Amino acid sequence: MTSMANSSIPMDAERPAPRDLAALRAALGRIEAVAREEALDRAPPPPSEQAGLVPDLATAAYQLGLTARLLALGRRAVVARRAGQARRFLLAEVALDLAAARRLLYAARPDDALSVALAALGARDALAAALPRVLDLVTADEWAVFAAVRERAEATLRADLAGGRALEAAAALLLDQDERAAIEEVC
Amino acid sequence: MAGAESLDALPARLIELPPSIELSAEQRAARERARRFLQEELLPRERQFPECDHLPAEVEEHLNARARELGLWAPATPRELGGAGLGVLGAVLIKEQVAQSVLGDVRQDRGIGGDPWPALFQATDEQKQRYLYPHLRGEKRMFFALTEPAAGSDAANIQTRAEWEGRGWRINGRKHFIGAGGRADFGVVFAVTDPGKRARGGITCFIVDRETPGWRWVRDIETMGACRPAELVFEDCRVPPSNVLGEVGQGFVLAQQTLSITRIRQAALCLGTAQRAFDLLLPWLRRRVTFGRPLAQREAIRWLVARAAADLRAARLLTYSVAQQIDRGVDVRWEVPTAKTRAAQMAGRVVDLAMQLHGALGVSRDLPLERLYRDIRSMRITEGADEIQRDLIARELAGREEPVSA
Repeated sequence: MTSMANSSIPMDAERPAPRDLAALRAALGRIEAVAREEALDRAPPPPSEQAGLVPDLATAAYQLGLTARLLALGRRAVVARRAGQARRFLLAEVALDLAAARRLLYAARPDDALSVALAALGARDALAAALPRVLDLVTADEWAVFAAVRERAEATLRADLAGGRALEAAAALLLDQDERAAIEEVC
Repeated sequence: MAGAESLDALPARLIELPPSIELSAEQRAARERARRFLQEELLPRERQFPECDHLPAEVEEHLNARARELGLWAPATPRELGGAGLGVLGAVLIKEQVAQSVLGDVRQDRGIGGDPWPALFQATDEQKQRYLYPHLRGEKRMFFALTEPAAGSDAANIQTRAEWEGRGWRINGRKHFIGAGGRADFGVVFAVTDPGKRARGGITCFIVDRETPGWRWVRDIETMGACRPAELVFEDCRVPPSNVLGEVGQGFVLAQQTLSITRIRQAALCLGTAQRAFDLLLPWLRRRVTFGRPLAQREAIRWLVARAAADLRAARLLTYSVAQQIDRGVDVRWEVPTAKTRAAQMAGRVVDLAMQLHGALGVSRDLPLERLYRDIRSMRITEGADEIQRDLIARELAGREEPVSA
């Protein structure tokens, strides 16, 4: 189990150059792992205060860690109750959103504001969408754990209701300039 | 309260860092050439051929020749076989570009591309001479016949039978929704050779020539999109043992391997279609004024556009990543359904949004949006419906619920 205190997340306020992307990815991976695996009776500090590099990405990593945690809960419930197709599809949808949002996160570049905004948006939406789906999956045995994860999830989602900041940032980059926004080039 | 709720049971690929996507200089250059092909050859011809299921022969020949000149022909086919050798990722990049035009490779039977159905790479040397190389030269067309009236998503349930007669195989059955089935010179046809084994060693793939007695084209099936897949019947259609593709009994595995690749090509089609819709949408929103303000300044619309952009970028990253992993020989059973279904759903959402925000103009034939809308719908059904992809994902996560094929 990874501890947030030992995770060596960079505190440097400077944004990394592209050559430092590997270090950034690793740091985000640690935040995600902590959110995914940390014991629920120890609340980690908000990720935006832990990774000064790119707060929106740190928050996104934290949210995706929680999403993975919800997925694991849902998976356990589906297996335990031998769930039918409808619940299995709910589980698949959570996994789909998580996979897509993780791609956005780990492909984001701090020097590309649109990629950061879209990663933040993807993570926020993946977590928000996972909550009601996993709610429909968990059994009574898992309820306390689900409630604890949900509490954390709601706390991070409340910090930016509806993801409005990321939405507006992305929209501004896409719509408030005359030239075509280059979302086609992702690598 | 302990953490790590059964995390060990989640697929590693949902936990570990996703690999970075790395395009070679050659792949980047091919993407640029594909963009030129789109802008110089496809987009200018769109109004000329608004509603065709295939282009006039002379136009198609010109486009194919131009694609060859630009090094875009047969991109995923290895160089030693006569292709461009750009890998599956290179093919995805090219297809994504040409699919931005309604004259591009939106439909399976369009000639631009040149890559055969991947099953044909299993051909023997003699089969390569007769089928693969002529296909790569553009002299012969092919189809891939798996789907049947009683076996779409449940492909292991095909009813077409192939019986050994001592000197060859006799095929009987019916296939439908077969792209290019009406125009192809040969096809790969899947039939049951051992009903007791079916998908586990009882399905075989055969190459069937158009001239073979017993092959009958029944009709082209009208669809809401531009494609007109065929219905075909095989009645006492006799093929020699030399026309078995791969090994007897291994046809289902071959079909699955083929679909893994073609599903990613289809995801690339979806990316291109969505990109076109998105590119039409942004300038329209800046230009269109309602109640004294451009649509681009309205919050609800801005949020929709931002979410569409995230949707498109995520699907693109998933698709590129899977293509790259296929090229690297990585097992992508988990990722293919994810990319395929995500890209297909995304394209439907983005095209629908672009149409909606264009108002009445969106449904008119003054713009290509209505055509994109009709063409893209089938992507959530063909080559593995959304529901099959979800089931494959759920199976990877939580084990099998009930047998589901392909």
